[in-house]
Amino acid sequence: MSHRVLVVEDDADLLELIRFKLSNDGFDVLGIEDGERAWEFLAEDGGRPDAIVLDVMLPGMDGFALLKRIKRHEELEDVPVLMLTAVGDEDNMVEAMEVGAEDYVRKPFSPSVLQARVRRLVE
Amino acid sequence: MSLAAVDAVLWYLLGAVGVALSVLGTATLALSVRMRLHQLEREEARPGVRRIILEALDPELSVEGVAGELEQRDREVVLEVLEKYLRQLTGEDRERLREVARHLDLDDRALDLVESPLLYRRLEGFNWLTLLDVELLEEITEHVGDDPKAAEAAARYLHQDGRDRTATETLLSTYQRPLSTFAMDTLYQANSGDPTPLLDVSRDSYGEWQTSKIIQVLKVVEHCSASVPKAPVDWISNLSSHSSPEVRAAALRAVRHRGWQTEVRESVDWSSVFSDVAVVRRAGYRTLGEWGDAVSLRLLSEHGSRETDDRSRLTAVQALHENGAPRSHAESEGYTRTWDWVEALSRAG
Repeated sequence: MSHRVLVVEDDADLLELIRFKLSNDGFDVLGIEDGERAWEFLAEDGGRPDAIVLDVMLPGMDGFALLKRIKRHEELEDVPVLMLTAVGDEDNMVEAMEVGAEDYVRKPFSPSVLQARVRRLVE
Repeated sequence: MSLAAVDAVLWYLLGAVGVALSVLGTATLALSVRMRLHQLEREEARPGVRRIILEALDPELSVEGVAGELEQRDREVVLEVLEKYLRQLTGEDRERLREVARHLDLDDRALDLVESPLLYRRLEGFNWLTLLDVELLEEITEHVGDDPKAAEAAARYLHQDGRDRTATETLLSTYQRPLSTFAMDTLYQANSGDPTPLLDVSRDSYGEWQTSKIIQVLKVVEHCSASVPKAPVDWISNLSSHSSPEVRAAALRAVRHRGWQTEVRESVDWSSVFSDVAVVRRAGYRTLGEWGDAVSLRLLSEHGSRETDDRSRLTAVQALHENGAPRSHAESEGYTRTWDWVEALSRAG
């Protein structure tokens, strides 16, 4: 059975790119473009993915706020989260790791590296 | 002219203005509708273009085939999506997209653009040259014309192409005017690890620069690596006799990380520094504090205790305190108070 990955990224072009690369790698990918809707999906629809790829800069609820909610939620706290961030966001990355993110990838990024890291998170 | 005739002329003018406004309003409306339709068309075309570009990332598909398909699509949308991906991606996927771009002749287009008389076209050309990593034309700097923005864009491109000396020359030799923040950043990026190009070019060119540009360059030098032994810094010592106190102070700050070089330490005429204006003395105290050797600490202690300017005295005492120097006997009430203040600050954390 393929692993389910939720990608939360507000840039439609990047979201499609990540979806394309992860789908080609055999993942079942769901893409959502804003933090609020991602949280609704996770909390209310009972959608529990095997991993989450989460952009830091999101409209509405940003990536950190969403990460905090995920890591404080009883049923979601053990879902591995990979943060997508911009170069120079060192402070933010430290904060993300402290909140509980399992890994991070800096933009600009290599999609192959992202694939490999997501694969490692779900295995 | 009779009153009736004046009335008629006024009515005529009013009518003409009304007609002109109606025509203008209608034209504006038509133009905005047309632009909106064009935008909608592009938005509609984007997912299709994106899908084709993503197919290029599949190593089993030919890049030529993908490029052929893209040629049939809206050129503006293709350029937008390709630019986005080339900026956001690294690695083999980026290389494949560069191949697609080359098949679409975007490299030739970029080279044509840098020769355009229009600034925004030239900037777009440099942008694409950088994105596509196009083999650089030797005479690229000739295309920058008289515009500093074009020179700055070219310098950034040259830096990203690994040609830091040419980038530095473009920024420092071609234009005497002060640098923009973007240009200073490029200068720093190109020289932070090894500032030899910056120091070489500056030594030959600083005599022609405006004062503010000299200060900017010294600021960049201050933050670049100071661990390259043969980097030429002798010209910085010459600036200690410059007519501007800001330049003299910047020159002192520029060598503050170079205290390990005996010839740099010996090149400073400290008696001139201590008899100079406060801004220069402060820079001197800061530099002595960074050097932190026995001679520097002795100079700091001697002159700091006699310092009459409050801010400069504070700088001197902070430098002594940071170096763990013992508190010397008070020679003035101000000196005692400054030490008290610095120690209290240190205790407060």
